[in-house]
Amino acid sequence: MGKRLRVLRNKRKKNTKDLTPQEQPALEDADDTSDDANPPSHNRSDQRHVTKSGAQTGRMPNERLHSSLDENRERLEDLFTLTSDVVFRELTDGRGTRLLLVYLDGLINTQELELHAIQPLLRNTLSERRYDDLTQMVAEQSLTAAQVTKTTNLYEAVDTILHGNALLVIDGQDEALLLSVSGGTRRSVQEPPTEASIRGPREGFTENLRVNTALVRFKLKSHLLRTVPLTLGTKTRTSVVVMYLEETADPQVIEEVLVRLRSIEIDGILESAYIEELIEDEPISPFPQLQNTERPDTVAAQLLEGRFAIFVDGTPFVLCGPVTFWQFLQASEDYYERYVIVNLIRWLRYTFLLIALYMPALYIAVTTYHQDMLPTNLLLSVAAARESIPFPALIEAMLMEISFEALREAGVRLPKYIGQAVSILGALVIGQAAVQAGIVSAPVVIIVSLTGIASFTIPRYSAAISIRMLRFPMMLLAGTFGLFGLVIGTIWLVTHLCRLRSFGVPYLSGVAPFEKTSQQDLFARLPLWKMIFRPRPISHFNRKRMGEDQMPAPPPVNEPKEAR
Amino acid sequence: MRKWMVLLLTLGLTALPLTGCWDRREINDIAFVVATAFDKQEDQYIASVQVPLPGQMGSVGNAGGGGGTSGEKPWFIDSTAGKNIRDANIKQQKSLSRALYFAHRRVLVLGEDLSKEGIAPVMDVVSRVPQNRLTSFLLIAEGLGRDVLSADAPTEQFPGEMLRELAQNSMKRPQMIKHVVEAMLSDGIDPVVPVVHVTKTHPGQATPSRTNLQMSGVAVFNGENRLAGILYQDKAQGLLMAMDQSRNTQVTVLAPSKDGYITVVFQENRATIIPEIKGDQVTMHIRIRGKGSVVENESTYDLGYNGNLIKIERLVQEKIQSEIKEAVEEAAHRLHADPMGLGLRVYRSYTEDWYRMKKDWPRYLANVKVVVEPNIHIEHTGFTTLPFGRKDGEITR
Repeated sequence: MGKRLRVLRNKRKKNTKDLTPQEQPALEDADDTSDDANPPSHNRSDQRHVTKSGAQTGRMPNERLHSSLDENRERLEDLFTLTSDVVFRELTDGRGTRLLLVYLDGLINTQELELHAIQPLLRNTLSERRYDDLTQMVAEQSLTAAQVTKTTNLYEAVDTILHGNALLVIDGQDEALLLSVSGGTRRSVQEPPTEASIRGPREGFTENLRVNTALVRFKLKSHLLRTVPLTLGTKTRTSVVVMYLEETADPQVIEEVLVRLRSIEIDGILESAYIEELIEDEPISPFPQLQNTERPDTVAAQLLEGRFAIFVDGTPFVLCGPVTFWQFLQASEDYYERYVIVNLIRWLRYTFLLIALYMPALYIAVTTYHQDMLPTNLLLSVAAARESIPFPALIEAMLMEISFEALREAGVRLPKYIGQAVSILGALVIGQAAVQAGIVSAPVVIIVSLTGIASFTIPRYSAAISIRMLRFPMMLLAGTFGLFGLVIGTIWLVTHLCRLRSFGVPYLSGVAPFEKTSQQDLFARLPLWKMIFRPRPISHFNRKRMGEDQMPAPPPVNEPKEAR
Repeated sequence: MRKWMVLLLTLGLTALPLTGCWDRREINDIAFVVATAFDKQEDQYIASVQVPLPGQMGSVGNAGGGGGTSGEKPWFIDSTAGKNIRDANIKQQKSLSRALYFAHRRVLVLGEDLSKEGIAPVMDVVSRVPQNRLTSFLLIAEGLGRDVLSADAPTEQFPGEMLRELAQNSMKRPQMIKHVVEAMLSDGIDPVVPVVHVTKTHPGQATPSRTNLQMSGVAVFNGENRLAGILYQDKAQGLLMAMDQSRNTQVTVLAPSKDGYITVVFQENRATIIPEIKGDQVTMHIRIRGKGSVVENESTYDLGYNGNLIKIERLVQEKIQSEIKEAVEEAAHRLHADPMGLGLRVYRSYTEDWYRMKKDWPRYLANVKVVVEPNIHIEHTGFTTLPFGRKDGEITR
């Protein structure tokens, strides 16, 4: 696996060489950081002069703060020109020292700032006698805010203001204090709308990164849980956190993730999908190579299996990886319900996966090439239904499948009230009128609806949609070559899946390459007390996760021998 | 490298549309043949095909489609004469807008005249083209096969379906083309095929009578695969029992009280044939084991009383014994046919003797001695033991 990872990284480096010379220095610079194990620090660069291009590529220009408050204010006001939501609040404490608070309105918690910064500062008289360092004294003696950091860099100060902190500048000091009083209104923790479950935790991620990481922390109270911070996007400065369990996750994979993340050069990250698209192994594959989820329990389970999670500020969707294909057919409830029923349902999903992919294609192939394959009575029913249909089976099925996709697409984005109208219209137009008018036959309607339902049984939307799209080429193949075409399509699909990898882990792990211990949770989910080891393909470190002999049984009955 | 791959892929993909869909056949361009009949008149073969008309079948999907009662039958029959079967079919195709498609032929009916001349020549056509199914059922028609196909068969959608159901229920192992051909090719066993004929229904005076189909017996073929004769009724059942092929076997005997009949139906019956050779005399032991139950007792005879049931068992055994003996003797002595596969059993048990007798087998067959050894057990008498609806005094013990 290590070899594969190295190859990937080399490819990336080589690609940067092909860029225009204008962009090159910045990118090479980025590559330097990515080889470094530490997260990017803001004042590494030695550039003295402040340039706009430097700011655009995300490098932090090193301009020191002035010791004069007025000059600092002037500089900051210059940077925040025509910015209505920035607040400059000047204070004077008892001894006459001038202080300046700068923050962005709406991003901070005003009450907290008042209580923990403004009130103590105004009440206290600061004496220079006991401390050489006034800034240190303010931080230690006056401020009651929980988290205070120091900075000498103007741009770092600006950056932290933009992230929802307050900046405290003290006159005569070239160091400023950063107060973490972030607030602002964000959605509260709600039930995840895209991954509802009957049994299981009801909380879902929000748009707030800290809340999200805390939701996982609540579940995994381990000091081994690592949260590596990153900031991506030159304009959006989006906070990104890579989470993994030390000693469980494969360090090579984690290193690779960090390398790939640090090599991202983009102006904005608005959703985790941006990151997903930029760090995938096989960008042109129809299959998702990272799983996105809204559920903290899913993320916790993934981390426990040795995977990593990527949290992105501003979106409730967290990315998990490395993934295998089978994962997309598993729902969190598979582990919360009784395993016998779960196995039944899991097999139902596997069956319906095949139906979603093949059913329309099979109908086309059988009705246009292999009429001998249907039982006579069924064939005659189909023939009777198709008697007056003007289109060939391929066109007929395509027509209906495309209408179904259009209906689904229309229904997804419409407001709830209009959405209902669409579904009624669709059911009437597709389900009945088309059949009655003799445009399409009833069997095709049945098949299209069955296919539609089948694609909804796949628990992960990203996988479901790729399967749904793949049935169109299958239909075309079936229309041109019959079952032979279907076989060709299947061979292509299986070959593609076999060579696909997610962060070095084969996509079909467990089946191809075959791995014995993965079978516990693949086609059947064994009872929990049988799954003693973690799946090997994801991480081979610390694989034992529970004690042996955990199968519950009533205590042995002690026969009273001598008592009688 | 990647560029080359893309180029190759594009070239491959552009080759796809060139091949076209040469064997594409839409379902509404095909005439599904569900049953065929072959007849022979003088030198000409007559091939008849039965094709269901999907447009007439009145499915739900067809808005305003006539439904089954519009007078038009939902099937179509046409027969054409030709030098052989394919020749006839090709001629037939000229008057059909849809391609004849034989993959769904489930019944093949052979006319009596053709069968008498031998069925070997027509077996070629049902196996040479892969479209044909060797799992089609074979039936012999009394008279013309064509007439059987065009019966009304009111209980099914089309006569072919009715023929299939009848054939399926005729024996334990219904005779498909593959079974018949197997019997034709094996030494020491001759084919047996169920016989079907056209009857008229008797609905009373108000409604006109319609034609229906009925299984009337079994056709026995001789060593040259020509129809030797047809056994009817009890003889047909007897022969099937000897062959271990009888389904729903039933025997009706006169009650010992002589005032009515008792009918016994067998849930289970098995036959074993054991040959015995002493010099030139071949003896055939047919052992019958059966379990049955009484389904009707018309008489006043009390079956529950003491040894009465055993008496009935004995009567049933006698009846079966004579039934089988008659049937087997008729087939072996008179028709010179060996549907029971006695020769095959001789070959297996007395291989040396078989090679000696093989050439002259029909002669040995004509002199075969038939011994039937029935072992019948009546397991229960149904829900009532006493004759239902009779007063105590009327019951005979």
